[in-house]
Amino acid sequence: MRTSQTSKEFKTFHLSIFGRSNWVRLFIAFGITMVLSACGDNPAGTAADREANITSTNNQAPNVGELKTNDSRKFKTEFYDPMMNYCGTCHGAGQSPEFLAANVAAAYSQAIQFVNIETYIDPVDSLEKHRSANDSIFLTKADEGHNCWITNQPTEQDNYDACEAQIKTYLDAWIGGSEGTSERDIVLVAPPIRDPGATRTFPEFATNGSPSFATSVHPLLVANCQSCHSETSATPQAPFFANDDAQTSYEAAKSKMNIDFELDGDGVITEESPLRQSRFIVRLRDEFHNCFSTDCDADADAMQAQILAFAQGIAVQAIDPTLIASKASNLVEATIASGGQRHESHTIALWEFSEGQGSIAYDTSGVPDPTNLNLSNVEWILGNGIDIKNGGFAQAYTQESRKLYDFIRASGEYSIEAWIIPANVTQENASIMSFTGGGGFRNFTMGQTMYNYDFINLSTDSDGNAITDGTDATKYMTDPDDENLQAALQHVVMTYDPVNGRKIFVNGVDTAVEDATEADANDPNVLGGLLNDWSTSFGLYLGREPGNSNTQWLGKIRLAAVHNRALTQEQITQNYEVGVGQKYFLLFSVAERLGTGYENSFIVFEVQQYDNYAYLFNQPKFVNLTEGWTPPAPITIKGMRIGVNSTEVVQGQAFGHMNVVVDDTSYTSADGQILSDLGTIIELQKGPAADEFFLTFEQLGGLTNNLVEDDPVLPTAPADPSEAVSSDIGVRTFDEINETMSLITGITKAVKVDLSQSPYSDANPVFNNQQQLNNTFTKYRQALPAISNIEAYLPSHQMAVAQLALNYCDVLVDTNPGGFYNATTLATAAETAFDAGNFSTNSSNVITPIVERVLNVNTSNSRTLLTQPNESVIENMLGSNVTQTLDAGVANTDYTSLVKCMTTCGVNGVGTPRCEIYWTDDNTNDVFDASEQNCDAADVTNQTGVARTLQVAKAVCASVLGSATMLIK
Amino acid sequence: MKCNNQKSATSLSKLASQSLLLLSIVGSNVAMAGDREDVARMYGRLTGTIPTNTVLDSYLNGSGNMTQTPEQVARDIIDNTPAFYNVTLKNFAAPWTNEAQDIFVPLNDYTATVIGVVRDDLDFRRILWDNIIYTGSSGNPAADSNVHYEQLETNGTDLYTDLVVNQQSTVYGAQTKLTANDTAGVMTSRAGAVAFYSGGTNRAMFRFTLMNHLCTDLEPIKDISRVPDRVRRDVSRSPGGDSRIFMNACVGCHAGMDGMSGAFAKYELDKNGTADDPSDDYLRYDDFASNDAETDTDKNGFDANGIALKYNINPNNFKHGYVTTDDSWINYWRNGTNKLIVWSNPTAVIDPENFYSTGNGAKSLGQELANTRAFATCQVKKVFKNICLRDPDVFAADRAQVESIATSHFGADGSGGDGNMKGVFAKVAAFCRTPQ
Repeated sequence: MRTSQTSKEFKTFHLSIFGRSNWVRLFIAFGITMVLSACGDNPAGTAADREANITSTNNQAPNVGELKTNDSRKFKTEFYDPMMNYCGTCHGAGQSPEFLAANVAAAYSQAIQFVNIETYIDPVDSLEKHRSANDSIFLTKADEGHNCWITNQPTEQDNYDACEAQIKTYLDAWIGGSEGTSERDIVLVAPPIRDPGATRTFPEFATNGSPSFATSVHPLLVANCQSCHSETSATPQAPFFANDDAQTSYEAAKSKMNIDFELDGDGVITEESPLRQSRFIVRLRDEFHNCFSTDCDADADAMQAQILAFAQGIAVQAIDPTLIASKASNLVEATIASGGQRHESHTIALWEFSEGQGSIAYDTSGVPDPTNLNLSNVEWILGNGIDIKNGGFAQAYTQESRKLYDFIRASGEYSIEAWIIPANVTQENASIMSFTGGGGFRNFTMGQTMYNYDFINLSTDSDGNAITDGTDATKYMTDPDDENLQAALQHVVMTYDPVNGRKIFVNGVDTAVEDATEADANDPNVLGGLLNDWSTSFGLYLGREPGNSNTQWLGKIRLAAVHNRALTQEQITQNYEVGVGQKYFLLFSVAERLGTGYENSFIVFEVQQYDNYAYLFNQPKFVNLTEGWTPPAPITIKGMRIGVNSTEVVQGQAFGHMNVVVDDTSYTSADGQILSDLGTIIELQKGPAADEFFLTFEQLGGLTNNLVEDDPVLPTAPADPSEAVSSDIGVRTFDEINETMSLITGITKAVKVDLSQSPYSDANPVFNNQQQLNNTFTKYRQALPAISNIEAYLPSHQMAVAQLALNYCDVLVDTNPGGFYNATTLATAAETAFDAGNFSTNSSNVITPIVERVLNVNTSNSRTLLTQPNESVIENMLGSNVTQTLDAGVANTDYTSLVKCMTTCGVNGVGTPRCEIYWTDDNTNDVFDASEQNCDAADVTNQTGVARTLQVAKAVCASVLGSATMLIK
Repeated sequence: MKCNNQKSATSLSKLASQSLLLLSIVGSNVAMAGDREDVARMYGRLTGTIPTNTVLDSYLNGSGNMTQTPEQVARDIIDNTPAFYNVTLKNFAAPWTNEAQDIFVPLNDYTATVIGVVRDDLDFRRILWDNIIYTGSSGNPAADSNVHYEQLETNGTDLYTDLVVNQQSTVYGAQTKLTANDTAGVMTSRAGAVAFYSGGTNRAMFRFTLMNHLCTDLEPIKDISRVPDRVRRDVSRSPGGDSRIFMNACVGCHAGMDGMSGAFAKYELDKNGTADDPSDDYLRYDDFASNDAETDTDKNGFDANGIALKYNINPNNFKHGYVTTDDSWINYWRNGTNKLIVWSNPTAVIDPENFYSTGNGAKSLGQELANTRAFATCQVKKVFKNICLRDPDVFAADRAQVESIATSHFGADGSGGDGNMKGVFAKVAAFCRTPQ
């Protein structure tokens, strides 16, 4: 037994399971165990440094009065519970000293007498800390071999040392820092060394396999368990493995069936067979849980027979022998990096949601009386937590919530803390945790409004006037621009005290929004807000408030706590860094692969259940558990992959390109060597109790097995459709139309202009021709076709085309550049130009130039484009002197040409027939009578003079320029 | 004849409309084609306009047959018609320059550079990596304004003759701090920056470059089997508490995208003006000059490593994820299903065992993206859609033509050929000169 700690006799190792780089703080080597520190950020000094800083030693009892509540609780969780496994048979059953007596308080008073506590100042952070001295009677007795339970070490003394070290771990966990940062040592224990086994893997669907789940286990579940374990049951109890839908049932049932087992030589299922440990079977055979009949054994046999049949229908798959694989490990064999380093001195209620089943989430704070939560329509999630879905909530009755009122009213300040995963960032005024009686009033509320956390607190000033009245109107929330709330796992702490008002910390960071009620030295009404108006009749609700479904919050809560102090930044940081959920150190032996000289070599992952569907594998590290070991030669580790149940998983291989050399410059006996700072998530298959993990490598030391990926296969080309699937022609788009109209008319191209600038911005702008064109183009540009697809061409597009065409033609006819038109025609009055004698000539003069330009009619060599319509047909439509017929075989398809129509009244005078489109309805009867069909004086005026001739030319031009002959390409 | 719907039709415009509709019926006839029609169609599709008879005649002999091969005629049209540049190319590129893929956006440096590179017969791959920008021959292009380009458009400037080539580092460098090595073609243009470096995490630049120049969004190239060691911390591994979403969907894009978008880690859009007004924003490349702490105490948007703060935002969404400390990129999509992209970058550094490629900065990533078969075929497909007015992936003959043209101008693996887009346009126009 070593009674003094020196650097020669004890190996100091520094691992932290929470920091990225600080792993071990204190390591005590004995055989092949390693001690890990579970918390703390500060790089510790050497053991010698610590020795030098010990300020008091031996036989100094702790200040029991000061530590009272917290210390006795820590005694229970950190020392009493684990020691019960080894010493409880005697010292918990009457053997003196009864430091494990059934009455924990009595046990505590006994145990405290045997603990010598060292108080020292940590040289790094200058904080006062505690640890057990090495001459505590617990330790000296262990060193003497007093009923040591460890037997697998090389020598007897090694066994005793191992027992001593384990007890010291418990002692230090109990004694070590109840305030501020603290350290916790965890013993890394080598798992059983075994190869990855051939395993069965659950098929993807409930209907896969022969027999499938749907035809084997599922019918039994539906027949016997549906009255509770179904969502539609009158008393629904999760998990819902008796759902009528086999697939839904299957997902819930997987973790209740152990399908990896071997029958013995005679095909007998042994008592120890994992199959018999299937939860479905244990519940019937050993726990008599709602057996189907009066014979639980028979029911268990029936269930076992179905699971056996289902399992035997799944092929057993062995690991690929060409892989360079580590030994296997699983979470059952892993070293638990248990929590306990949370700041809990002021915790008055704590829900860890570790029950995993049932309808009550217990308050595990240890502070009487427990505020237990009754669950309604919530589901347990793996890795601790509850999933609150629509209609779900957790409720503590008023009487059970009274503790919160009493403690917080006494202190006048408090903190509410939670680890949550909001389901979305769209829910508003949703209540995550509320101390309320409903009706919109609360003592406090932690809530969500989209990306923000809400904090409502009922408080008054010293005169009893409400500062905040506990309603939504006085809620305090994080800055929406910061989007502090995310649909991811978050740690949120809300603190209130009269001086600082409300504060919200997200993931350990103060969101730093000023509380409007914050103390203001100049405002006596605000100073010293009190909780006097808090109601004793309120209860604690998680997920929603009573009687108000509008406050429903959706998401997962993995831990919740209430403290009767406003936690400090340091304390909040401490709790954030501890994290949530159970963590494990998973050790994968690589010693056999590396060979002689590398015994006890492991790759260690920090692993935790990440959610219902995945594990987090974090920060792999190379360690050797032999004291003083350093790599005899550099070890190259490349391409490390994680395997689950005999197969490398496809997704999440974040270390697949890792390329690290472990050598004596990077590896230290104290710290090992971190291989990667990254973490990744790996799919959960059978559940944490059944999934087996291993590692594979592309290179491990001298062994290589490069991963060669197959080339991807080109997708098969589709067969040709029987006919074209889209039009062969299209329409010109906006700029193309503009450019084309410009080229055809010879008018300067319209450009997009800034309509907010003069002259376009003026109330009554006077535009020249070009400005008018620019104005029109700018206004109608986005109304013109944006794409060429003719099937997307709309009437609105045509209207915009017409507007632009009219504008171009307006400028063209008015300016007649380069003698585009016959100048004489344009200068002749309409009634003359288009009378019977001149109609043909002048009609052609306003039609032919524009038509031939658009149609690409080449009169010089008689070549025209066959893809354009016949020129004469168009010219007749526009300017024939006789009635035109679209289709001679169809009645009512005759019409008058455009030029004729526009000039007939001017030429023929009052009382002669109008062009039919000028018929006007006088609403005297339902037919067009003569007065409506014939020209009046106004018609004649409108259709005479040079102005009318120009109008005719413009109309003809626009008809052609805005037509399909221009538009189609 | 009496039609109620014509009773009140008295205006000139309605009269015109009537005729327009009638003419539309006639004009939609498609008759048999000959060489003259072929030339007219090539001209119309390439330039968006109608050729004059003089132009048509110049490509035809006395018998009405083309005097050169159709491709040569098309190339001649391209070389001699300003509308190809002012209209077709401008609107070809405009949708690439903004997230909404709006074709009506004003002319900008991204569009102008595409036009210029094509006009000057440069290797089109250079638009993704070169220190190049096209500006008007006069005026003052500015890193924090698009006014120069808008004026070219408002003034009706002929881009065919007016655009001149410049260096981004020269034109913008004083304000953006871009040196020649920091430039990457349109990915460091002002318009590209305003569109794709604004807010967010700069992943938009990667995604839209893929969409615009490799013709694929992320969804079709998801590959969940890639090593996710470059997925950043802001990506939740368990969205809403369900890690299956990450494992089966998110990681498919992020494993590859986050690896490559590391190249943009030193770029940030400086919000020069108000938050909602991008008109005077400018691209900012960290010059390390004023960084004094990782926490950006001088509020310049970069940490002490010169990394835009946006790269390490929301670190608690998954604090075990990748921390960006430099502008290195890594291309995991060289393996797996996305090997079909055919990565052929001659300057890439290839991992000898895992065959992924690596580099630093946007310029080398631009070369990585541009030297791919996907880039080559994408350019041809975009031209094909623009000229032939149909999807090039439907018919085997069209697909074969696309592959053939891609090979002839970009090589079989995407890293060869001359990268000449005029040639691509000419070949496609010749192929589609007759109805399908």
